[in-house]
Amino acid sequence: MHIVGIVLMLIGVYGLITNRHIIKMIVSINVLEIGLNIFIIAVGYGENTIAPILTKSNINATNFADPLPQALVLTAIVIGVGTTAILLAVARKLYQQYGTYDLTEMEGK
Amino acid sequence: MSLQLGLQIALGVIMVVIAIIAVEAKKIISSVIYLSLLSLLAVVGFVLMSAPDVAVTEAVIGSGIVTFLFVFTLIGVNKQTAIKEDSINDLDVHTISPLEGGDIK
Amino acid sequence: MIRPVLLVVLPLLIAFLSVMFKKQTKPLLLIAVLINAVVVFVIDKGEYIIGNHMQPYGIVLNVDNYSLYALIVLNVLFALLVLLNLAKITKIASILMIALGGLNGLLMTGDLFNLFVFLEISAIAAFMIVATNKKLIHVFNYMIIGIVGSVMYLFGVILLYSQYGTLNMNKMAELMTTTGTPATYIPIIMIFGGLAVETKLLPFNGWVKGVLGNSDSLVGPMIGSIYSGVMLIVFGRLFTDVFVLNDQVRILLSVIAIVTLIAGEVSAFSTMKLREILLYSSVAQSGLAVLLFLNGYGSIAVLVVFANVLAKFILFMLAGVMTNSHKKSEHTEYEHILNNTVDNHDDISTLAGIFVKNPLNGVAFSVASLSLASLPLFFGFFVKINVLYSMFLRGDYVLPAIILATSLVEGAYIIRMLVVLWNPGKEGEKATKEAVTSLNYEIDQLVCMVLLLISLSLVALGISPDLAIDRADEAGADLEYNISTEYVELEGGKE
Repeated sequence: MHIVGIVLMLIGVYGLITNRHIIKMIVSINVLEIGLNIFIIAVGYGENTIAPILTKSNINATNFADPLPQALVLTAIVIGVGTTAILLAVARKLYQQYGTYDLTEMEGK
Repeated sequence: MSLQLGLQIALGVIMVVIAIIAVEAKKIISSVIYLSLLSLLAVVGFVLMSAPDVAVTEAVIGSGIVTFLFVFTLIGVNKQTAIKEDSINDLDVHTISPLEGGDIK
Repeated sequence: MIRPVLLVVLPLLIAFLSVMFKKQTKPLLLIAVLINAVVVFVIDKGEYIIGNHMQPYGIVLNVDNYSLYALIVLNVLFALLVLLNLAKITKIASILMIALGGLNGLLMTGDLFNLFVFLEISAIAAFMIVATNKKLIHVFNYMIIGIVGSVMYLFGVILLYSQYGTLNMNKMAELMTTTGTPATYIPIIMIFGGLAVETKLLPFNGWVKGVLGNSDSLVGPMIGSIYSGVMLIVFGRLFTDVFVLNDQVRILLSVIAIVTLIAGEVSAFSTMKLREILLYSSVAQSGLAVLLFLNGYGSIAVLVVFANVLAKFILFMLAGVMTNSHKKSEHTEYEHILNNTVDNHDDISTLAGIFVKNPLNGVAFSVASLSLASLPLFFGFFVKINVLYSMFLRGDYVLPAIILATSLVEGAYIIRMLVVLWNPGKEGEKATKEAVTSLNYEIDQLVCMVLLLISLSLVALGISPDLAIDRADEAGADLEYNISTEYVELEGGKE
């Protein structure tokens, strides 16, 4: 799954470069962030590891997955939501100001 | 090949395909729907990689909050162009609303 | 006795309180800023453990000389900026608090992921401060590039974690010196790219022209002086104290910094708009500071950052006020606000001779810009002399040649700008009435006096620079890879 994460990040960057419609640029940034989160979780996962939660039945187990990348991803997901929200607010203001969602038309005006 | 590895490979391929479609879609609203679908597949991926709390968080945020924000932005703008269309009733002006808009690249 | 966590926690707490008590945002903001500016002088140095988890497992705050001096400069300048702009801060008071908390945390932290979180907090606060601008498309570009930069930084951090197993900065420095650096340098290049967005290095500084080119007197000093200084200090901490680079990567990254320096100075020379000159000069100074940090001149780089922060504070604030000027007989200030027409006089030729009518502002502006151009009697002169002296001591001759050539260009455009603003018209004659512009601007008397005081401090530091140079020496001694230890402190040679 490491490779899937990196490929998703590359697709996100490709979408950011080629699109000119603002909403699709924001969608590409979200694809980029999903790819990054998948890569981070894949770093913490080995073969045959189980979820890092202690219950009564696996209190003596030794093959837990690494919990640190999972904490990182929780923070990164919430930061991603915050930045998406503020990007969408600016996009809406831009539509009110220019009447279009297209970056090339906006730069022309 | 064990079942776990096979599932991961299949899931990975489907995610890549959906991501490409989401970035290249023609209508804006279908791009947002494909993003929501990608987020759901990411939830399945997180469960397969033994991260249940991350999966729950991503399910709530990706399929709930982010999709709602996108649709809210697009709908609000659509209402604005609809109001503009109503007020111009002697000219035959057809404004293209962004929900159905053509592909602008 | 007072824990430095208060510097981060207090502004965040007051930001949340100010959302609940909307009527009292301004007094709350002033209280928080003043308390921060006073508390920063009484905290002690050391490593503070957060949450009772011992070192490699928990987060520590590193307050040593390097962080302490940066914290003092940041908090005092932030307080000054807020006090000088009392009319404009009512809309964004909560966001200024979040920015203050985030910036303080950036300077103090000792953990790589904690740095990512504070970087995001400061970046989002910067997005919202810049969004008070009229032209939102530049804000959008800044946001996109900022978010991509943060993603690159986190990618680099997670690659380092998968190799070393820790995220603590002290432990990572230890592991990197004993077990060797990553076989390919991709994590370090990713982190460099992530920080290059905020420190205005060349491939990623497309946002600078739009954001700082349309700034007023609150956004300009905030982004151009305070944020720029903090990000450069963070860069210095990471690349001299934590990471160990080998020669090839060092040369590659130094080439990027040199290209930024040259491109910044040449672009500043080729434009005639006031704010663009200042922002390209900021880009060039960032390139110079990054170059010095990468090659081990840690304490000299701290001096360069300090001189740049002080000078740009004065210059951006005055530029923000001057470019909102209007003709005296035509409109009053109220009509401008009602008709929503603020004239943006950016070109130097329309502002020609404006200092003839406002000599005190002219003195502050001239002192700051001459310090930037490194003329003697001002602080910038000693900074540049020390840069060249340290490089010559090490036997390096290529870098001083580049720095001297760009200083020549810098001197040229700064003197040209000052001549047009003071004395337009034919050379050697006093300006006639027609050549002097008829624009006027209003500036608060308090602002004028404070800016004069800051510029006088630049002159005082130019006469006896050992105050600043001793501090920079102590700060540089805390960095691991720092090789510059001899300084020029008095006129007439080494002492």
